[in-house]
Amino acid sequence: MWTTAFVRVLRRPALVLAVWLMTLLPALLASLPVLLWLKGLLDHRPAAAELARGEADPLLGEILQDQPAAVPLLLGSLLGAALPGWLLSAAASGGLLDALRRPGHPRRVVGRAVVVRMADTAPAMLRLWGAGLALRLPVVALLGGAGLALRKLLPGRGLSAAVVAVAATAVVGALLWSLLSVVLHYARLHRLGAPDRPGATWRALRGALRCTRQHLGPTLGLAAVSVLGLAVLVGVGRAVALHLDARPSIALAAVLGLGWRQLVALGRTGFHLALLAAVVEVADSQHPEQVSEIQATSMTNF
Amino acid sequence: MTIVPVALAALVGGAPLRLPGPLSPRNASYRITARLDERAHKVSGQLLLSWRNLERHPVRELVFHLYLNAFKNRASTFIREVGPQLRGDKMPEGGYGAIDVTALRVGRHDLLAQARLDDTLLTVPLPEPVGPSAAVQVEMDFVATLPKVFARSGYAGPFHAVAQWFPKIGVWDCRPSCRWRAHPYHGQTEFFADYGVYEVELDVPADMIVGATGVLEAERSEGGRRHLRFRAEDVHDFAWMADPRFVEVWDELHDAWGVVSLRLLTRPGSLGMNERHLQAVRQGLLELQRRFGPYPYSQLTIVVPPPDGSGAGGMEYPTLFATISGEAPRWLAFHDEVTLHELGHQYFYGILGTDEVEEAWLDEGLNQAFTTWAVERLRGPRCNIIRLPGLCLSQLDLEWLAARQAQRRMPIATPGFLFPPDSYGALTYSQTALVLRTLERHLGPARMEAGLRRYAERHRFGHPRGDDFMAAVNEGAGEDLRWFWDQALLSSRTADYAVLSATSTPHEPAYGLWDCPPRPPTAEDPAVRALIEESQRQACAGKPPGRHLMLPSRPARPDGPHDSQVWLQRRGELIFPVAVRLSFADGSTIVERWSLQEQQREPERRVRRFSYTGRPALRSVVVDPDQTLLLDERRLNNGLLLQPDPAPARRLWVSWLGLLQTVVDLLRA
Ligand SMILES: [Zn+2]
Repeated sequence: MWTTAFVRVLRRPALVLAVWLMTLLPALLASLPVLLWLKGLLDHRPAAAELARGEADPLLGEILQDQPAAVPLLLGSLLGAALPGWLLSAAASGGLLDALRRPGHPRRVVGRAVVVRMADTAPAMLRLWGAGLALRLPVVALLGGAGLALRKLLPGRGLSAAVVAVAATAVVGALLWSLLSVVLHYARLHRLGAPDRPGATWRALRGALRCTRQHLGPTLGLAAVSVLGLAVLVGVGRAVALHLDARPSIALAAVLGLGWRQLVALGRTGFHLALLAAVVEVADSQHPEQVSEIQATSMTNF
Repeated sequence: MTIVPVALAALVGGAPLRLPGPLSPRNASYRITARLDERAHKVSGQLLLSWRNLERHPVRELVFHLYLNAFKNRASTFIREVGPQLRGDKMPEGGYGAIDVTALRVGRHDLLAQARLDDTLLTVPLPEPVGPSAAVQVEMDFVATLPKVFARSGYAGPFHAVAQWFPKIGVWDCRPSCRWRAHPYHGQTEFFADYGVYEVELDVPADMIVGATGVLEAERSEGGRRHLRFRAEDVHDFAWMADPRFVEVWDELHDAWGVVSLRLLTRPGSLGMNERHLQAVRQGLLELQRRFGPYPYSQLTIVVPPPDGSGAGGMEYPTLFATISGEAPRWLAFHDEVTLHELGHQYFYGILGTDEVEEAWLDEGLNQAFTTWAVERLRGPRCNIIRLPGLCLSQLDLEWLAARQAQRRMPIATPGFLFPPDSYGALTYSQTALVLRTLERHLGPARMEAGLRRYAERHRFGHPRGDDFMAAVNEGAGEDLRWFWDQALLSSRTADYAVLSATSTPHEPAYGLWDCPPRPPTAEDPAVRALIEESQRQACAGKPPGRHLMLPSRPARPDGPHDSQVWLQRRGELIFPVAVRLSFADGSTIVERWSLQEQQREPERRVRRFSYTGRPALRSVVVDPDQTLLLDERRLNNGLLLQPDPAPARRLWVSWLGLLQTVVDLLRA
């Protein structure tokens, strides 16, 4: 299933590039004020070189303490990147799922048609995303509760207990989050095949839960592999980035660091698309009756 | 009732001192018997105080501290000043405590009715004055009701931190005029007392493990209770901590003066830190002794309080201190730092018995400077508190970040209870540490150590004051440092040197309109005359008489001659001699000085210009390039590049962009 998914994604490099650009562009725009601010602060300061090399971390403290605008600016930049990024990604998800259907599937789209499909399905996908957020709230609350409980329980139990508890919470949290993502992808697939009627979002979610129950094993597998893959990508990305950032030539470090981070971002995008393709595979092929149902509704839609 | 000496050698510390005593005047000695009621969390005791008047003036009344009354109700001085909290640690609901004196006799006189109680101070009028060198014996019965652990003392479950728990006499002091140096228990400050011998017999439940000031002399069990006799000499307080859950670990430090027994009382959940605490204590003691002379006691007890008794942690008593519980990974050294700090108090408050109320900087501040040295000894000069990929902070960095945040400035040498709560720690601990570390960089480590050693040797087992400290350091360092003390300790001045501006333009005096042949210049300044003569030579060489226009024939080269100008600014009020390093296009550097004398001569002239003619283009200027002046509050403005270097901002931006993309990618669905 994963092999099929990866092959299908590798055959569509333009799709990977497009999705990578879709997160890069908002992030780039949202980070520009930070770049301008940093330039004004550092371009004429000899100490900036030490700061960039990680040899003068107290200066970061000085900047955060002395620049009241720093925290709002950074938070604004984060939100400015995240909100458009997430909305775009949610809006595009319908087109992406259809683009990653197995060859011959009646809903499969290629080339420009992907963009058209994205635009067509965007309102429905955004509604689903909103519903998905509501679904995630209990998870966030649960994790918050676990965090509070850990704060109460952990003191006095030693470091290894604390590390195990925190790591376990993080893993469970990531798995839950990822599982909900997969369920949401099922819901998208259901919604894509269904007519635009009031209540379509909730029907799609109910269908997704049904689908999850029917494919519980593969679904859990998808969530687990997704967590593992992203963890590896983030870990390796961070380790190499730290190594590159410590280069003596700061200008070179900036160029190499940018290149490497975009490579990792491409990797994450490819992995994300492979996950979508795998979800499509699970939903389309493993259970013929499910497929026929989807295809039947798809047909009525065409 | 017979007391059987304990056979186990490790338990019996033998003599409390490892140097021949007495080391102090021993004018306030206590014999106390006390019983802990672990269910009611009460300690009832009888004490016999032998007090001697060290001054040449008679005493007509005695003043005692009843510290636990600070927790009696919300009207106490302590709680009125800082609220029912201390450094963010809240006073537990319903956890009030108090101390009641139930009997008071001086000789044959029962004085309980005459004694006046005000907050945490008990004044006892004497039937007859105690003259110079005369002694008096006071007997008291008291009941200490422990609060739930808060501000150093109290109980948390079976854990009992019994500190500031008995009526303790103040310090009769006639320098410059006679008064009892006995302040109420302030929310922000600590303690002050005379040295003496403490013989304390404790009656506790049989399962209690007890750590206390001094050494255990004898122990016996009887009817489900344990009776422990402790003895301490040349100390000015006695505290003890009891808990049946303590895990006991013994270690030893061997040094030039013999052995110090180290007794660690810890608990499950903190055991992984045993070696780190003990290593910090061993290395810290070696550093203390190297700098400030021998540790005179034969034992040191280190207590790890339980997490729910953290209010008792991070606190020092003679030959006993409480660090903090829990475990930390190797890259994080907060535990080691707390242990080193509390250890340092064995000197700065213990052996050097300063007044922690009136001059808190003399214990906390000097001790914090010691802590930075000790952390460096233990974990190296860089990243010695946080060492992570991407984050490196040393104790000295943390002091700098804390001190520069003190919003409400006061002289460091201000009585501790007068500081605003948000600035007390930053100024008393961090700023003092920066003052001393700045002085160390200014004088060099050898002279700094000589100065501090003079202080420590001269005032061992005395009650030195700020003036004594400054005078001793001046002598030891061989320099009158009044200019520094006045600013750094006795004023609220802050330091900030900056490079205000810098320019560098090609040196082109030969351009413009010139009349040839030239007339000799009349300028008074010989340098200017020489410059004009040289320009005339260049402009008129081989030219017919008349007026000639001279223009540059090619663009100026950076390594060609330039005229450069640099303006330094002293933005803070604190005056300090600073170096300035100028770097030129050909790689050469010059170090200039803006001297103390020059700045003192005209303190209101807060800028200084440096000019250069004929050198290559100026590339960068850095004031205080070696970071001698750790008190400088803003470091970013200490340097200026003449040509912008966009690389650092770009490098940091790349990290930020990468972070944004990662967040968006990980949380998208
Ligand atoms: Zn302290």
